[in-house]
Amino acid sequence: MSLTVHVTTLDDPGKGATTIVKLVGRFDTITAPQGEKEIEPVVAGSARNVIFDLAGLTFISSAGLRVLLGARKALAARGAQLHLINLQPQIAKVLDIVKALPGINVFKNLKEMDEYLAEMQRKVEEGES
Amino acid sequence: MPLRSLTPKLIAVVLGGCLTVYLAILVVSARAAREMLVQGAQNEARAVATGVSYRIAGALSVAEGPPRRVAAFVAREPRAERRTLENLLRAMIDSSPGLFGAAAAFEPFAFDPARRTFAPYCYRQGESLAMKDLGEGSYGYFGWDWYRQPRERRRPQWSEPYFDVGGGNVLMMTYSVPILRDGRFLGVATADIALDWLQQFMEERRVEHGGYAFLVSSSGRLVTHPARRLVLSRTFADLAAEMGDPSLREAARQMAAGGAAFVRTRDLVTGATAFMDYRPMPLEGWSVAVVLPEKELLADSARLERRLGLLAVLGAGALALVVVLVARSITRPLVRLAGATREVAAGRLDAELPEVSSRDEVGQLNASFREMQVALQQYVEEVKRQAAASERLGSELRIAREIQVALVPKASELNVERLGWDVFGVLEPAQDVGGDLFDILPRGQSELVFAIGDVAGKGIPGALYMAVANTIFKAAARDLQYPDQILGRVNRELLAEGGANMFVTMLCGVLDTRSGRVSLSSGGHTSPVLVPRVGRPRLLTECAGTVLGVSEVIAFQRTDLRLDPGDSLLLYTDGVTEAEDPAQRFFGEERLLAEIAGGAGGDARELVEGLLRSVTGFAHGSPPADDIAILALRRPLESAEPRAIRLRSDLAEIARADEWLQAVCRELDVSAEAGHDLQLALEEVLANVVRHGYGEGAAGDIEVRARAQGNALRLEVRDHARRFNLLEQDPPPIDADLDGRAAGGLGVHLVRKLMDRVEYAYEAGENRLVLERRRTA
Repeated sequence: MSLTVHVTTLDDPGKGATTIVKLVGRFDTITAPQGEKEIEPVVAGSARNVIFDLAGLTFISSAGLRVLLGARKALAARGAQLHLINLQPQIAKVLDIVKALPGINVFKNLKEMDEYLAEMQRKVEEGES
Repeated sequence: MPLRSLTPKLIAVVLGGCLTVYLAILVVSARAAREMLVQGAQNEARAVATGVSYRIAGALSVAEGPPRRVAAFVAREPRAERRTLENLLRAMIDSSPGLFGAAAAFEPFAFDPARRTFAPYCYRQGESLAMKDLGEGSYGYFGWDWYRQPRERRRPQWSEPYFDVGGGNVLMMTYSVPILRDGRFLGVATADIALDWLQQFMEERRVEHGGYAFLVSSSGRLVTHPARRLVLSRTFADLAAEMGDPSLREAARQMAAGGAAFVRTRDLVTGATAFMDYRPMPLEGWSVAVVLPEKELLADSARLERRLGLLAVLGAGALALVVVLVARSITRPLVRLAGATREVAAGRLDAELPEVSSRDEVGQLNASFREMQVALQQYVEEVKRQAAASERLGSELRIAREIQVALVPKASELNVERLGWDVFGVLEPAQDVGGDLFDILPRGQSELVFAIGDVAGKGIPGALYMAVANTIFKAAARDLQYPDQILGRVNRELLAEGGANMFVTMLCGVLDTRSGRVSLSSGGHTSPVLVPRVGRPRLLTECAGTVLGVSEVIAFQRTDLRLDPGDSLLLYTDGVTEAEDPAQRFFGEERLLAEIAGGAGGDARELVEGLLRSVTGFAHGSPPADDIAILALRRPLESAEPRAIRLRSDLAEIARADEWLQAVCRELDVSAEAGHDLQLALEEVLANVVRHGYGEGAAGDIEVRARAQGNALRLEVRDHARRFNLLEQDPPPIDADLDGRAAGGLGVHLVRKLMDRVEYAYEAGENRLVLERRRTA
């Protein structure tokens, strides 16, 4: 088993650039170093919102979790946000156990996340005006 | 507020009725009074008008004689001299104090062939008489009405009233008589009458109630009127048109046509509503009118109505007072009774009722209520007695239930590993305690002795009987090898105890956990069910026998069978098969087998709880009529033979361990979720051993063993690295800064949370870590 990482960047003028990272396969002790390397450019990039689409992720261990938490920290440092969508039940269970959810927005799907982001955008605009 | 509804109602009805009648009388009488007043006014007006008209006719007739005589004289005496004529005129005025002047005016050359115009006129000037010829100067009498009209009509004629300009602005009228001789018109003889007295005369004709009279000439002009500025200057028709009142315009029309009427209309000047009587005068075209302002006319009537109204108000007030007093006398006892009723309703049954001595409806009500109060008190006493009795019974049942529940093994005791077998049981006591029991005891290294029973007896006696039977069973299970022997002992000792009219059905079994062999004996109990891992469940009907505690001479049969890995044995009491649905159908054995088949494949707990859910669902939530006891024993799929894999200390080996674990899970029926959890835990543990035990890059070996243990899968990880207890790592700071979390903490935390049991031991230079997790859910 292995891990595949697909990165798509959406140019979304309304919300700032958004990058979608699709993780497929296992994110475990063996695949974590590779995954971390492939995610690195996204974390170092300029996207305001980084969305991890976990629909294809079947397994995650503490090594994978550590990479995600590190990404979150680095993104937060430059004011960007990390979102998780399409979690399989076993992935949600693991995240729940380690209480990794604070600071990471988890959504059922892309639509739910879009609604959330639109709402945040509205609040920001209200705050500025 | 004692008077809330009854009194206002009484007042409304009584006062409303009285006032309606009174008002009707008032209206009728007021109308009659008005009619009488108007009738009187009409009579009076008519009388005034008639009087005026005769008086004026009399006055005018004075002026009609002299010109007639002059005209007759001239016609008779063609040769009369001017002096004679003048003397005649002078004599007439002298003899008629009402006359102001008299004249004779002639056609050109008719009296004196030498004169074209000739009109001697004699008139009063102060106390004396003066004479002049109207034919002289610029007067030019031919065009004047007083001359022209008699000439054209050939008959006497009264002129319209006019102000005499030369004679001191006196209101005048002229009577002209044509002088005819043999049919030829010679001129006219006239007499002037001053009407200065007329206005005064009319004003003196005071009419009662502020009324007045006025005259209207043939041309419609007002000849007299209290408003003098109107006199001769305005016509009645004009004024009526200005007022814009139809009735007044109609009066003007009628008046001009010589009509007479008494009408309700308006005052010409003030516009106020007034009654008016008008009628023609004996003088051609003239009318006399009498006006009576309605307000003044009806003033008396209105005053009377006001008095009657005031009287009505005072009367109504007095009546209301009376009604209030009457209503109070009726409602006061009712209000007191209502208060007492509220107290009774609030639970004070001994509330004092008001003393009502009257024998009317209120008195009757009071008496009935007193009877009801007494009956209620008795009833409540009765209910209290029953409640107390019921409470005693309830507490007795509760005690019995506590005894019963205390005697059967608890779920937590059952759910532990029993020599590697999976055992579970429930007891669901009914409302009024049936006395079911079950028990399971380990014996020696490999045997389990179990029993399930149902005492025929309720309440405390039933529970105690069950306790006795259970105690005898426990003792017998220790001493005796076979279930038939055990049941025989229980039967004998129960008979020795001598429970009156009670007996118990019991199914007893002895299980060899290693071979899976079971011996069963039944004392009249429901047939157990064999649930094979593959295939349909079936009733073991060959287990039969007689109930315990009835007869001493019974031999019990024994049935032997073998449970293969994955097979279960299910025991139950008749609370299951005899559960009823709302239509009072039994749950039955067929349904029992079908439900078990539907839920097969799980562990003992799922089997038991699934069946219990089916039974309660069947009963649609109605509480069970009888106790329900269910006990299940399941032989594990793989009894204790471990599988193992040896690994090198290398992270890449984790993939191999993973594949091996997946195969094990498939073989041992481990659910997907449980498999995932085990996989994750194993990965975390192996990564830890490689990194922190041996150290990455260093050589070393790791052994992982797996085996089924009851309903759990047990993994044991052994390595020969330095003594290293993974579990002693600090627990991660939950909910704190996760980014700063210790690297190792996360994995250990996952392991602890995902596994049911984690144990570490260091023995003989070996680290041993045990991971255990249920194979399902």
